[in-house]
Amino acid sequence: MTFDQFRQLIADISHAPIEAIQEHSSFRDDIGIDSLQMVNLLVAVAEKTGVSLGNLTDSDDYVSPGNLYYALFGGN
Amino acid sequence: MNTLIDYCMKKEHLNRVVISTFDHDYTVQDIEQLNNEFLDMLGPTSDLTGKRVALLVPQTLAYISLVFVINKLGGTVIPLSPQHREGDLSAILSSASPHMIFTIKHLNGMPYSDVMKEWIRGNNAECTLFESEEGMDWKRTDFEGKQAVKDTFDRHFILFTSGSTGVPKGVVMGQEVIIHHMGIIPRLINGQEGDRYLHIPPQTVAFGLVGILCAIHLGYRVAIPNQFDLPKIMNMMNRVGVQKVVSTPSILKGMYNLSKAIDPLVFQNIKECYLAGEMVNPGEVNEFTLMEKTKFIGVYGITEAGGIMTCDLRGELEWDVDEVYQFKVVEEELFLKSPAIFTCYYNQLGMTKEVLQEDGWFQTGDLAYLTPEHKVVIQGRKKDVIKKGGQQVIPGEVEKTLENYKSVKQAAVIGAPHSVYGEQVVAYIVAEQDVNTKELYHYCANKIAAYKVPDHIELIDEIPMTSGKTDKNTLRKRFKNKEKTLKK
Repeated sequence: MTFDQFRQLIADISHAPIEAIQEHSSFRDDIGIDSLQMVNLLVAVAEKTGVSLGNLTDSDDYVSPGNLYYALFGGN
Repeated sequence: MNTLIDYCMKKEHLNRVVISTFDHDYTVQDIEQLNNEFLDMLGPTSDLTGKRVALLVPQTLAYISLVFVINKLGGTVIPLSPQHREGDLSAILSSASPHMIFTIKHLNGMPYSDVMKEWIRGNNAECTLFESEEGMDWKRTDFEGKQAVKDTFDRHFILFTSGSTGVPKGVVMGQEVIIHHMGIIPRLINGQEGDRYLHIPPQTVAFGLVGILCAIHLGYRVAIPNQFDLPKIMNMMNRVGVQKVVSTPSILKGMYNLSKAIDPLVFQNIKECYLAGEMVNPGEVNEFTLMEKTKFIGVYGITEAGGIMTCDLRGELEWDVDEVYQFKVVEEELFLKSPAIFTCYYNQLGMTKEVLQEDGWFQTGDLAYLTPEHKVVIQGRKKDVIKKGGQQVIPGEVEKTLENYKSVKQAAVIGAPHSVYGEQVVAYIVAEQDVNTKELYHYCANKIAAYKVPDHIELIDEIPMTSGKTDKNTLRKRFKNKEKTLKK
């Protein structure tokens, strides 16, 4: 999955405008995703891509789309 | 005993840690010290009798101290949730007309003090505004304008929830009602001196606020997550040695699913888990396989009546009502009577009379029946309410927001099951011309709290009607069929 495909996936799940979803945007401050929405987003990403959430070990992993992408997909 | 401080703060608990956050532990003495600082700031002889003071203060210690100090000075406390967006906040401020507002400047990209200033200027309101970055150091500004009417009561609380007509409902209760709730909650969650809880309910709702006051009063400890940061929550649970959890089912599920692989011991150490805010299906808690030794108790509460009853979530979901309530079922609806029932909806006499009878019986709006053992079985809701992630969403409010959008002619909002939120918000709209649903999501997100924003919006040609009303059953079936088709 490319980063652009990942951005589109986040936009589809969260209904946030794709322009707001950039590598270094803050999920909380720039995209407006609150705590439970974050859980929903992570569960939906796992369901739709089959990736394991066990890779998330640090709160920095889901601070921004870029960090989440690298934590879940290792940049591949 | 005159004030909440007199009731809650006990000398024998002064050195006991009662509130923990990610980075700090606070004793009763810390709270007392901050109370004194805030009293000095406001002037110990200030009189807030009859005045309403709104608080948008996420920092728990500052929030609780302000609650104590405003109560001591005779004022009425109006807690405001940091989940509110501009539309919700303006509606609440217009209903409450506060004399004084304490607000943090901004949080999560939302410029709260600007929103407050705009409301004050736009309404030409005489109001004292306190602003702070974190909640400890406050800058005061006095705005001149039209004086708000004072209430005839003092030391009350007004807890705002969404109203079906788009006007927020302010649930009014005196401090004596809050003190009754403080008698009930420890019975429901088995709260005892020295206990250590993870405490998830928001501090701005009655259950959350009273839970913290109970901890101070009885000397147990509540660990409160400042934000949803799982590794930090796990660290805090380990540091505090949490043995009991008070949460919504959806938050617990989220925490469990994302962290069970990282730190299974945290969950295995939980002895008792109290879940409130959403209905739980029979057997649902068995999904928490690491917590097979944990006692799971459901807590049923309503803002207007406090925490009312509990049930064993591993059992038949038959609820035991707390000793302080009289209860009966009339035409399938659960009625309650007790000194813990609210006083009225703020400035809404008609709405109050609809649910609170003159002899003190409160109509809960929940459909129920009684078992031969005098236990309550809840069957559904009479009122049209969606419970999403422990928060109440009133379809009428979301429909009104959608219908305010330029080309939306009509909107109908229903609740549908959701694996994370418990229930989700689904909107059907009829449009006068092409509507960009992406823009509509964005529009809603700017107007109402995130949890009220529809999770799905679908355009349809016509809203189905039955007997002159929206036929929501047909819409529910339509959504269910659509989900089935998508899953195939």
